[in-house]
Amino acid sequence: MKKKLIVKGLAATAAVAVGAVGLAVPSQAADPGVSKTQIVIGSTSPQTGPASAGYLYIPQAAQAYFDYVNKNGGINGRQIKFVAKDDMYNPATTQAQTSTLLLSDKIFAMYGAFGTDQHATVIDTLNQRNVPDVFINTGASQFGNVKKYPTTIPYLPSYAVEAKAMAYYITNTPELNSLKRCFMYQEGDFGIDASNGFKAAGMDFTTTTSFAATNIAAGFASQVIKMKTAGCQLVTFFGITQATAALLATSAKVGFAPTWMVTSVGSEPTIIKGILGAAATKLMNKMYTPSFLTPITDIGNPYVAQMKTLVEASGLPWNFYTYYGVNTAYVLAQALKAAGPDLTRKGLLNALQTNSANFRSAASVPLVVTTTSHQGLTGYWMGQYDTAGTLGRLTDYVMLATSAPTGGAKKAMYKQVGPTKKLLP
Amino acid sequence: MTTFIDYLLGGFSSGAVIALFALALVLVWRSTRIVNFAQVGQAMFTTFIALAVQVATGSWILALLAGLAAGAILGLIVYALVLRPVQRLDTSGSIIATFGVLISLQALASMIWGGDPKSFAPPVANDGLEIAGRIWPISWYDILVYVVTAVLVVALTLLFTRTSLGLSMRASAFNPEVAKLSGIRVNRMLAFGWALAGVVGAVAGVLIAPTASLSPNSFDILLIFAFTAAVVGGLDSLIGAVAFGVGTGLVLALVTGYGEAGDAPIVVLILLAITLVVRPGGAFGRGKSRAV
Amino acid sequence: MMPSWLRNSRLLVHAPLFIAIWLLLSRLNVIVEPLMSYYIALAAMYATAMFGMVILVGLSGQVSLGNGALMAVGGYVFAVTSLNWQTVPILGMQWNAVWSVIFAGLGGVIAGLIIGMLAARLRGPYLAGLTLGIAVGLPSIAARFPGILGGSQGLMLTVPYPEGGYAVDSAAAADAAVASDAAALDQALSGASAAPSDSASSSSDMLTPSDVTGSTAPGDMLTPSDVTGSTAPGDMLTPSDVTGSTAPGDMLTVDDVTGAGSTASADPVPVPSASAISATPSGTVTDAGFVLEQWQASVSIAVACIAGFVALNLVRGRQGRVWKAVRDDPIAAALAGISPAASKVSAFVVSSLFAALAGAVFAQILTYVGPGAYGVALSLSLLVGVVLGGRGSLVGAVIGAVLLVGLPAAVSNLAGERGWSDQVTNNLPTFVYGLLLVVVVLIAPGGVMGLLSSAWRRLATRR
Repeated sequence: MKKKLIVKGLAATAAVAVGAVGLAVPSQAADPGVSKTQIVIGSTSPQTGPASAGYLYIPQAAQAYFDYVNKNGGINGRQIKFVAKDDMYNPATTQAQTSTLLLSDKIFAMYGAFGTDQHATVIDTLNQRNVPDVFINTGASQFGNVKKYPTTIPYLPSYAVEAKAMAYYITNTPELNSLKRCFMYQEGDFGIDASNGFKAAGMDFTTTTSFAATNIAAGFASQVIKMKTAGCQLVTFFGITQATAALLATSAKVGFAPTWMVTSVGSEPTIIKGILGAAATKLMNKMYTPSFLTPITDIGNPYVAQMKTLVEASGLPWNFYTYYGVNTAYVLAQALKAAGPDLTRKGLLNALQTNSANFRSAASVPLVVTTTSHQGLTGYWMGQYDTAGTLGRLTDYVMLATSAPTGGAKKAMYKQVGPTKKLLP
Repeated sequence: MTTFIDYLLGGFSSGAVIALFALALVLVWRSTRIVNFAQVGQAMFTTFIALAVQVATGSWILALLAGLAAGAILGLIVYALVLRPVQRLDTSGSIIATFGVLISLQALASMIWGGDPKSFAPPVANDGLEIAGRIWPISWYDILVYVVTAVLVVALTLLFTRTSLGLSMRASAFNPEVAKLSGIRVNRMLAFGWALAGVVGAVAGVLIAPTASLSPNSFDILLIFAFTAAVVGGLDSLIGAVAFGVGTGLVLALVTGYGEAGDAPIVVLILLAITLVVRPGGAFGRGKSRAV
Repeated sequence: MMPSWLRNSRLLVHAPLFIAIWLLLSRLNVIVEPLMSYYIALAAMYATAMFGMVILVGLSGQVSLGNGALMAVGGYVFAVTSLNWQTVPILGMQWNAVWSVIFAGLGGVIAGLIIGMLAARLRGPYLAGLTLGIAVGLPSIAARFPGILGGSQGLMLTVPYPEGGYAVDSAAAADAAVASDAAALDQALSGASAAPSDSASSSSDMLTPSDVTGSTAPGDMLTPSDVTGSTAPGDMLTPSDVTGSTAPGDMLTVDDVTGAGSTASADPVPVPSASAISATPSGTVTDAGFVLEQWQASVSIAVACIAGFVALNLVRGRQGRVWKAVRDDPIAAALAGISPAASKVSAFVVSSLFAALAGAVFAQILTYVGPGAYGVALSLSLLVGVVLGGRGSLVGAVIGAVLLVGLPAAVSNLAGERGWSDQVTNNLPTFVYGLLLVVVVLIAPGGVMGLLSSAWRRLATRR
């Protein structure tokens, strides 16, 4: 066993040496999880348990997209085998499942690994083993550090970037800027990253309050009363969607009706409607939410139209999670195609780092993944829910930022490029 | 001052639900000397059944009745299949058995109804009442919850103290051998205790669902608070369970209001530890229960 | 009382036994697949914690739902000391991970002493209630100290990879990344048109569907039939379409693979040249001699063997009889001059020591400590393990540890490919796991060890 490993290590060293001088490397000796006919992609996320609500659709939608690509010939002649494991949002389970993916399923790359604490347990080993760790599903900025985690590629803009975009919009919108501001967050990466983002953008708050994700069932009465007593007129909120629903319901009960500005990952309208029933549209009316994808209701957009078609034809519900899942799967497929017929892990990372500006996707902001910077998507547009409960885009411009501890967002125009033919890579 | 009253009212409504679950735990403890970790799972499952009835008929009363019936039946099923054989087990064995029932029920509910949270429409408005030109965090629905809780406590207390059925149940739980000798059908009494607990749990589930949301895991945290309240209250005491259930809700509300939300579990832990150190059998327990 | 030389001789028997076990497991560790090494690492870690559970629950008769929180104490002490200390305080020696493990154990002893004193007067469910409170409350304390304990986000640890690993100094890396992030974003912006400085933009800048270039020809749009494979235009989707029919339209065509024949097709994304490779530092090749899982297992095995050795000596020695005596009849024990309270507290201290050692190993395996990793679920699984394995036996603890690692893995692929919906398939393992717990408790109240010993007794009486 040991001997075999040494041989493998030598082979890999040789491959690097050869690659460095620019010669083509035959792929036979190469990486696990890829053969002439197949690419094995792994993923971990909560598919059952308390944290799975909504998010469980992400891998299902990705599976639907890969099935579609496979049906149409795969990528460079290879079929994608997608192995999505359930970690129940428990970091220890995430590590065990990832070990199984790496050592038993012999995956070529990780895709869409979910959660901050969860990913903290595996990011070291993925990078150490040179496994591409593509489009992680967490907005925590700590993983977007190219020097520390060269194989980890974020997709979601970080919560810090989102906070900076919110701060930019509030500051530059007089009727919002004059309001008394408060901030409520879910403890953990949400709160830490968003607080840092607001601080970097120079935004302060009259009152700040928080909650624990495990405690949502116990209600938010005290938090709401605290903000109501403080006279908050604008509340920025960072938390999961169930928490947003509970917050809206409790606030309505005590007659607290500030202007809401809610994080994009915590405002999935179909989930909120599921929880709040008929009252949802009324409670969500005028709620601000930034977003980084083309509005999900913009059916005229060729991305939205085609992704909706694909999701619904695959028997899945059309919501933000399925939309997001198909979208990232689509970008991954393009990266795999761009990596060429001699697919290697290094080649995939290389394709991602040199081509991120060319990938087509439903994103409304630039994707920055280069050899020196792994930011993922870089900003947001601001949207607002209308009386029908749909999110309309308010800004024609987008607000872009990095996760840096100083400096706010910048305004920019971004023109989306259309999809490839039939959404195939 | 009004803020303080707001916090108390808010804490009271979450406390009432904790109290109902604690009550169910006490009922099971009284009948079989077991702490039923599956109680919230049973309540969740029967609330899903109630929701299905509400969706089908549009009637909250029918939904409640269906929930109660399902609660009693599920209580009996769990008792007959699992707990009757487990009765001779020690605390850790019964904890694991009921824990196994809990996660199986949650998985089963996820298979049938999916993991997304569902809404459960309340029978009366859940909007804060406007009194003296100000909206207070108490609604007609909250008042309904308080009334139901109070009625249940009084009815159960009467049952256990004033009826021969209640006395037989207590005798069966306290000393099955002696009870059997005095002609009590012990197994029937124990089963009745489980069914009764199932009913109370079902009431709790149906009552909390409109104020929170309903998903297979949505009552998990309430189990922990309810267990804490029941233990501090003395496990045998109905009034203790209710008092400390409501008390837990108030402490959570005040700590969250005046401090940080994250401090709440720590404060609850400290109060739990102090109470148990001072009174190892719970505040309403029978004092010094045994030497050592 | 036994003469001291005899007790010493048992020590002599136990020491070679554990050295042999250690050698055997270490050998096993290097000949099995890395995934098996990982499972061994987890099982040995659980076994360490479970030795403490056997003493606490089995021998001393105290139920604990809070040993996961005691593992958190060990894990956090391990993490904080190994992240912050370069030298050993007072002793002034060079710091290494062994010191962190020792300090973790020390932290566990202190925590166990405090909790044990609180718990000594409590019985059964009251003790379960207190320890459950600890399981919930103690990790919350970590969340209150974001500075040193990492808050609710936790702390990340690094694996001491051999020289040449990719790990770089994190502070310097963070600074460098900040600088290059800004530059990269500016570069991305220069591609896009810069925004006018005033907030009002002309309506022609608004994004409309027609702005989205490249794909306006109807034939380029994906339609339901593309997903289902049906070629009839405007064909409505039926369930059989999605599950796949055998219609000729389902067959792969060259057109579908290459996208050839489409004039409006987007340019293919260019294939990068091999020389563009960078950002992956030179040392990323996994070191030939170092297998992460083997290293994790070697740490875990060593700690488990030491813990097992100490536990066996305690259980078989005078202290073990004291614990049992107090469990079986505290009044008689008190009459015999044993302090029941002291006995119960000592059981808590020992079990807490083992939990903390396991917690330190767990932190090292996870390369992470955080409230989410040491939650109520961990505490419950320790009790599950000790009940499944057999409450009163150290061998039962090992069996329980193996079951804790093996059972979830065994049930995880139960559903297989049966065409059930994801909703059913995903939840089936948990459902079966829950039923298994119930069934084992019903059939074998004494756990696997109880079954084995009763089978052995039956065999013996037959003979």
